[in-house]
Amino acid sequence: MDKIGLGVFLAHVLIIVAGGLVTVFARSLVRALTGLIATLFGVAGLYFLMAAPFIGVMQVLIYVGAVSILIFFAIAFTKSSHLGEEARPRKQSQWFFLLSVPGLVIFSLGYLLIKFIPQGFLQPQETQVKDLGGFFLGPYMLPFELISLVLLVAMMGAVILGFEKKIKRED
Amino acid sequence: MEKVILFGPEIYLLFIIFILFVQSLAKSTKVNWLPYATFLGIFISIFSFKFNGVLFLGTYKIDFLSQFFKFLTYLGLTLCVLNSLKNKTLSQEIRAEYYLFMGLSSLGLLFLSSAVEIFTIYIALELTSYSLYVLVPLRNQDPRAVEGAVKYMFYGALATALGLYGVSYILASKHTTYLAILLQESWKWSEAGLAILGLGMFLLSFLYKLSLFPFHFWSPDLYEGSSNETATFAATMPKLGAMVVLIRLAALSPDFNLKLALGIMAALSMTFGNLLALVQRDVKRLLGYSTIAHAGFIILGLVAGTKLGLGAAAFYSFAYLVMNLAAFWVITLLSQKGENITLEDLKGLAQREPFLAFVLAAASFGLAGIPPTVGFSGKFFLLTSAWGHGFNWLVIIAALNTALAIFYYLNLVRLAYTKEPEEKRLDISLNSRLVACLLGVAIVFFGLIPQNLLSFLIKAVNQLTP
Repeated sequence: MDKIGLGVFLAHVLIIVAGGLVTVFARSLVRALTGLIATLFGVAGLYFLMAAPFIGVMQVLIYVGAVSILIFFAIAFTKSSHLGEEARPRKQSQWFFLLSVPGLVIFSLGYLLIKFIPQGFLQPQETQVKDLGGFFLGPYMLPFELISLVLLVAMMGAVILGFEKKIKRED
Repeated sequence: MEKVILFGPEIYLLFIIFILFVQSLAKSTKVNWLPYATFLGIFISIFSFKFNGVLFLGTYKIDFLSQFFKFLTYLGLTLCVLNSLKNKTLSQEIRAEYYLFMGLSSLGLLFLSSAVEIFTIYIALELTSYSLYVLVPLRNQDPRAVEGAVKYMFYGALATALGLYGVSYILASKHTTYLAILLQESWKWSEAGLAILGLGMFLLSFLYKLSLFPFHFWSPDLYEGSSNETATFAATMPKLGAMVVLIRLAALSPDFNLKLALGIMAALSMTFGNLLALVQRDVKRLLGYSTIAHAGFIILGLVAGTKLGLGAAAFYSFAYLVMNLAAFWVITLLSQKGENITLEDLKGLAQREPFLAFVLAAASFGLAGIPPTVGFSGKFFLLTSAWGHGFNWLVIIAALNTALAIFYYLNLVRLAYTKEPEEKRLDISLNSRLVACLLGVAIVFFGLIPQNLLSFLIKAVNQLTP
């Protein structure tokens, strides 16, 4: 059973890393976004593997469903082409910075976490999804509904301002 | 089911917004029906004055104060819509959308007037601001509009983020976000220091809306950059929402230290705003700095914290709304092509347009605080309410500042009545003159007979504390 679990885990890690590499190296922004979505799906899978299905579902809904769409809209509105600045080959020094700073962060953080991992002393409490829903739609029903209105305003505003700009540019 | 009628003004505005939304989808630009619709809204809000009750599990309270501010919101919205029907700097295709965002911003104000739970207040504030962030840059071919919008948005994002951070402190120390429960808690520095810190930070997001020093930097740039019509809306309406929430929060009667901090900010705000207004040439920019000074005045009533103080603050929001609407109305009429008005453009106005010159004079007298205008009564109530509550020094600074302010306000009147007739012919409709006159008359009327309104407002703030 452990071996199956390890296999599934490694498969997810593979998806996450491959998606990340596509995100970083893709020339076209839209392709980079698909790589990002694959990574986010992989992370959601990891949550399911940790027996936290609610967080997993939220990961898919919020990051894959909402945030990626938002980024996609941003790409579409700004008309970024695959011939833009980010498509040019990078300099040697840029590669150095790209690899050194994140590498340093990842390895130092990983080392610290493995070496000095604190013992958890709080017992995690199981909260039913039903209770969470009751909490949000009970006392906080009005703000919860108002948030959707705020999101509507933000989206319509983005559309209006995006098109305003386009009209000007063509003049 | 009978509770639905309590929600009447909000439902009516939602209905208007829905029609505008359909119009925007259908690419229709016929929005001439809108002033009539919002005018009817004024009567709906007056009709709902008599309602009283709590909705949505205690997050939404209908009382005199909320209904009064809903009335002011509809009044302001109607005048802003009327004012911007002939907006020349707006491209024709997006007229329906322009009013859609104006309506949504006002809807946020309606929610702000009644919200009595901190998260509801916060999200209603965001609804108001987001719509404004979209409205401000809609001025064709003028990069200053974008500059103003960007400044407004970044300051707004920072202020509201700080406010939300403050909410987490209140929640951590009091375990509730309902104002009704928070009212019964202690707000002494020694007992609830964390909560007072949180409350102070939450206040920031509203002081920013009032453009109180040191959160004022956006205000003159926003007024100068946005079109005259949008500036009218942005200068008057969001202040109403900020005022009603500040009155509700001041009813918690927080610790003296917090009030002292507010008082110092108010003193700096008045002095700074008035001094910088002295050197402005652009009339909208001048009004922007005068707003900063007025924000300081309103704080006077809040730091006093008495029934008279809170009532006077509510009265002053009414006075501020009417006076600024009148001043901006004249500016918008004078600006025939949508350009910004400078002090030079006012020269000889009395000979070209005696009516407008009279209204401008009434508005300037009001803003300066000269009797018999509503601005004088408002300032008088604020000053008397703060006297004797540990803020005598602030009252003295405020009185000195009034003298400072008289100079640049009366400068407007002086220029309007100097004899330098220009060739420019103004094309102004009869209706616009009529509305201008009504505003001028309202400024004088409520300056002569303020007592009924003030006693009503004191009755309204009486409901805030148990």
